[in-house]
Amino acid sequence: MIGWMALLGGGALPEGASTDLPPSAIANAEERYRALIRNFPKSAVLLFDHDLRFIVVDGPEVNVVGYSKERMEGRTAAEVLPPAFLALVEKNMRRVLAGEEFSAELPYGELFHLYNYVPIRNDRGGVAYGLVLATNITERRTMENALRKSEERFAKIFHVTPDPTAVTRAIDGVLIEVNPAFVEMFGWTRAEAIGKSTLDLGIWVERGQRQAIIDSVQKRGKVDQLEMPVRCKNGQLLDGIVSFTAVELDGESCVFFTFRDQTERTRALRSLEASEARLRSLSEATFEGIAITQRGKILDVNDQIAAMFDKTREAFIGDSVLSMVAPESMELVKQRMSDRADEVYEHLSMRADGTRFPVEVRGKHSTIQGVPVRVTAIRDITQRKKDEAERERLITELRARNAEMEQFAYTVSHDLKSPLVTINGFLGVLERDIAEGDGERVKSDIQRIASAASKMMRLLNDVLELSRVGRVANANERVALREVVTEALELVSGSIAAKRARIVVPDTLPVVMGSRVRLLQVVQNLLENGLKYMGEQPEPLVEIGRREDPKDEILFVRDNGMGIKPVHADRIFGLFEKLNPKSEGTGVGLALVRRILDYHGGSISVESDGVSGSTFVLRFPTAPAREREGT
Amino acid sequence: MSHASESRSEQLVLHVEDNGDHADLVKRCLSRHRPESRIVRVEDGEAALEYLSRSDAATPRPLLILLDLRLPKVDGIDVLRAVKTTPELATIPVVVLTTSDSESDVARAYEHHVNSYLVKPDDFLVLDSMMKDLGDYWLDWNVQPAGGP
Repeated sequence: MIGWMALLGGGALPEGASTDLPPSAIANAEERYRALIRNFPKSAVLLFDHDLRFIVVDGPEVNVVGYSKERMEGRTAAEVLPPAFLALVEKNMRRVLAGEEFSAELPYGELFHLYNYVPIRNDRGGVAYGLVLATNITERRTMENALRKSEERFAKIFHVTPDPTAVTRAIDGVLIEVNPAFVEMFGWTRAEAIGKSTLDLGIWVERGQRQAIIDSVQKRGKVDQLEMPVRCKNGQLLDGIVSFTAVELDGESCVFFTFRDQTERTRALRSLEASEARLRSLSEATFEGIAITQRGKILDVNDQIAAMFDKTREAFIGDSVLSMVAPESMELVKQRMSDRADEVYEHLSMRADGTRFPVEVRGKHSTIQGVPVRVTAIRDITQRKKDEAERERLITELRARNAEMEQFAYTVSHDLKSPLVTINGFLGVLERDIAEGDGERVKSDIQRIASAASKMMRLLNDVLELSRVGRVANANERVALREVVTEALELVSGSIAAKRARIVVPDTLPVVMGSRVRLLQVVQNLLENGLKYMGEQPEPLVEIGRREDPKDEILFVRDNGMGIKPVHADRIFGLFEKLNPKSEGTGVGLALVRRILDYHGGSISVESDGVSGSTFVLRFPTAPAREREGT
Repeated sequence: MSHASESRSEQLVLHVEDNGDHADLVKRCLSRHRPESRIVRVEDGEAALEYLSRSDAATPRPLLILLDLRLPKVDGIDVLRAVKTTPELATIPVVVLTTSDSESDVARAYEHHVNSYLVKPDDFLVLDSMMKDLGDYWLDWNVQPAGGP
């Protein structure tokens, strides 16, 4: 009040202004207050008397609302104001004239003004005038409105958001507000929560974390998507993602945080991981290689496939499944894949270096997360194939041996019967010759009987020998053939001398694996054979030598005797086969040689033009390189 | 019959046998019963085929071939097959005389059109009567076309 008077009168009201200030006095101060008023932005000053007649009207705001100083001064409110606005202000004007000092905010059209009503008193204390200072607050009101609406919206969002959300004081973590989702999830009522700190409530399982988070929030404004466990009122722990945002509320640093429950997701994820781990360990534990492919492209393989193909697992991914298939199996595999066949089949696989190996595969169509895939199990059957081949070989060998056995039994029975026919026959003849008293014939008959009997003995011995071939101890020693030849030559030295034969042997001969005793038999037999069938050869020669061969060790025994016609080349190795019925021997020798060679994994054949000698060719598997042997 | 009596003077038997003792036994039995017969013995299949392939005075056509099965060089069955597939020889009766009584040998011999299959008996008296009957049947009673076609 004093302030206003000072303002109006410059601190000195005119002397004698007792009941009413004379208008002249006020007008005197006009220049001073007008200057002042005009500098009040968006404001107006109005002075009126008890008749509600405006004495002074000034300020920029007067024109803004469509009036003017000239139009208003000297006129009453009723004369200048629109009736609707008058209805609003008349009461206030009278209140101030009654001595009340107050303010009010009132609209004027789309504008808003703050009216400060101040009674102007005379020196007797009576109210002489009413003063109104009007300030345009439209802008502030609009902002306040927007803010209020925004706050309402925010509150609504805060209230309805499904994620538990809370606001805490940054300084101590005291909860300022929580939303219903927070209440529902954590179990504290709003009343229980507000005013307590998150630390008191024990929300943060790792208490120490809070300060670091708050520091970080204050520094950067927010911390997003932090995975951390939280604790509920009932002690249950939840896995969640928490986001923190720094906010300022009523001038105070606060932290707004939302929590998203991930417990179910985490559990699902863990169970998925566990399931994947189980599947992975299953697939790694199988003997089969397993590949998952999609439209012919490899999505994944297990370690077995990687090992099978000598590649890393990663190197397979994205490759065409056909990159694992050998070209010769390509058509088959493509066919099977397009048939979506799921029965087992075999084909040839190929490594990056081009080496091939047989596999057995089975593909199954399936879907993984809605994507059609083919899961293929692949088994390396190299060993099985080998085993099968070995079994086939054994079966064939067994069949051959069986047939040989039958032939043997047949031959033996036939050839052993032959001397019996002779013996019995000549016994009959002998009886007759004795009756006829033919001494010469009797002698001849007895001779034949005796010779048939001894032939039978030799046959039996030879057959026995033949049957023993497979049963020799030390059948797998390293045998130096040169030493064997030397020994054999000693054994047949009598025949060599008798035939005056020349023998040629090189200094070295192969070393083979086998039975020394049996190999000696072989060489001895072949030497005797060569010497026996010299025919009319005046300069008998038996030559032993070695032939170069990339695969086997080859020994040959060559003679310059009568030779063997090529048509008989095979028969001579048959049991009891003799090309010359008059020759000595039972026909077991070469059969025995062949049998021994068989047992050594070798073979024997004869080369001859049937005129100028024969060459017996013996093939032995190459002996493995000599390993370190003791001295 | 007239053919048979005409060829009676010949009565040539070709005996293919590698075992000398057996050949002698057969010869003694057959000669005793049929002194007019003549036996030519060869020791192996090759020699037999060579004999049959020649047709001169030294190698007259036999009235009967007595054939052992297990023979050096060319086997008895191969001789049989050669004889039966050679038109000039096919009509000559071939009688197998062997120690083998194996079914497969018998079957194979008949497959190749053997005329008779005999197993050498180990009883001399049986052999003796077998040779008598063999002579009677094949050299006397049996009628065959003369010569080759």
